[in-house]
Amino acid sequence: MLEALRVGQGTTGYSTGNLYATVDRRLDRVRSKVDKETLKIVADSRSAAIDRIESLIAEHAIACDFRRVPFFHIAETADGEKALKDEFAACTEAGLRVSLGGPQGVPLPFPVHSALRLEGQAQLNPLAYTCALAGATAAAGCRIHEGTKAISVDEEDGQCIVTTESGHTVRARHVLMATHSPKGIMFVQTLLGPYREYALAATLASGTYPPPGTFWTMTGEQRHSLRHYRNEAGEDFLLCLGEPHKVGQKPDDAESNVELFTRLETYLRERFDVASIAYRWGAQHYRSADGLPYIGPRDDDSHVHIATGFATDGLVYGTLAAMLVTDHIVGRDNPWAHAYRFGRRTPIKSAAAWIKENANVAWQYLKDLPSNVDADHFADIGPGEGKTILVDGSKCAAFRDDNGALSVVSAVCTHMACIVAFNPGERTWDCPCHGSRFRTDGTVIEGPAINDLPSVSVSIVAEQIAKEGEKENT
Amino acid sequence: MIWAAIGCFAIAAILGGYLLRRVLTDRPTPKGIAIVHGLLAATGLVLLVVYNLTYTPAPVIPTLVFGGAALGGFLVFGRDITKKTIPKWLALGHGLVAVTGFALLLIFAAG
Repeated sequence: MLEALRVGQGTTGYSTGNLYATVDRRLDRVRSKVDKETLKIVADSRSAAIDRIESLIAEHAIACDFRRVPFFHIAETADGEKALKDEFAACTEAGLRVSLGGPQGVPLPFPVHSALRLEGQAQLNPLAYTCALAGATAAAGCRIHEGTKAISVDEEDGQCIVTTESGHTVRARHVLMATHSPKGIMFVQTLLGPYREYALAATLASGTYPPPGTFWTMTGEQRHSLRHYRNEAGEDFLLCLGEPHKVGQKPDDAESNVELFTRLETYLRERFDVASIAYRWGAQHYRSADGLPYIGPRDDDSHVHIATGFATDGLVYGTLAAMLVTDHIVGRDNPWAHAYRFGRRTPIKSAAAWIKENANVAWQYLKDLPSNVDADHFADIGPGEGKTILVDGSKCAAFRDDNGALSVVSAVCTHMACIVAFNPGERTWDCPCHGSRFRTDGTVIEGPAINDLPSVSVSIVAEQIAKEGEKENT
Repeated sequence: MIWAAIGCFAIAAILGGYLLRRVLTDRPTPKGIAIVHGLLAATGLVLLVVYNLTYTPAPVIPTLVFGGAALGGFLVFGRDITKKTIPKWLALGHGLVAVTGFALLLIFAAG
């Protein structure tokens, strides 16, 4: 297993650890795009994946706070009632035993209108689970190489050849690209919408936290996910997740994602006796065009397997992907495989999302005009700020740290040449086209980009700063 | 219609010159300019095709030359957005073919 960073330190470690048979974007939306059989496959396969996680935890005695909990989908106001009724119908059609009722039985300290309840779902600590699972895998003989970035995956004479950044190669009969979005340029990226979502961990003054459960609330168009979490030191937190927006793009009705953290905090403070916000973070997900992930070999004859498009349901879909890919490799029929097949073409079901995502990508390219930069001079970039700027005629991404030191890298994404945008909430450079993200020194964090943003020569930057100084003086 | 096509090609040519200079000096091309350049050239080509189907005599040879230039343009843009090196001869060739088509079209229009 080759891991570019450290096991669980990518998106998994930032998950809030909720496991459920339904889906983030609502089963009702899936129902509008698939037949009844596929809808049932989604619920059955996701339930089986949760069972698989539970059995792995038992088999390897993993301490990761796994527990079965109820899942609530809550309408805070009457506006959400229809959506809940539709979701209830979809869940029932999928074979899930759900109940729909009023506010009674919803263990939250603020008024709600109605709620859908699904028993027997689960929660865990995803980082503890993943690290322990990796440990068990290593104990069983799997060699895990952390800090080892794969830069290409080729196939030759029925063998897969993975080349690492240091120039080493790994040969294997099969390769699974478990990289969230597949690396490199692939058609499937036109079917994926990259989004970021934000989370807070708050402490409550009263010390009274909601009981174990996953709580998804709806307030108008806004949706939030809430759960209680106790860490290894016995400290309690209320986790709140929400405010998704396209990666690298300004959120709707907000100046930046910093404002989204404020909105999340406001949402929490209006409903709970928040004492402090202990942690805040963001996490990324990729939405598929037809609402289901793409899992399987990249083409019929290929031994390179891909699993992507999990939306925010990746802990369960990731496990399901492992089950499907395993079955494919060992030649075992899996009745769910066709529903998630990587190469499926669903033009009618995918058209609206595909057009929306790719029109957006085209717009990002159109905005790449020579004059369209954030700053004219390096002096315009304050501490903690990142701005695009023209250096020697090329667009660059310049970040000034809190001590005033500048780091300047190319602003042209190494994946498909979009211009990256600064993410002030997380201090990264994010690509608005396909969701690649880079540290301020240009190192790839995640997304389809393989290569880092190249650094701009210090002498070129110094020369430009000197020229700016001369202009200022004259 | 032919003068509208010439207008589109003329503006596309100015933008194309800018893009060519960027490629020849190993600088990234602004994709907004590249897309507008392509859209203008495509509009000109469509107008030219419609003119060919509507009027006699028709500028068949300039149209075919522009068709060839369009293929080259797709190739250049495809390489550009997939971060592959654009061979300078390819960018120059694309430009030269387009300029030839433009000259032939002007001769036709003036004649």
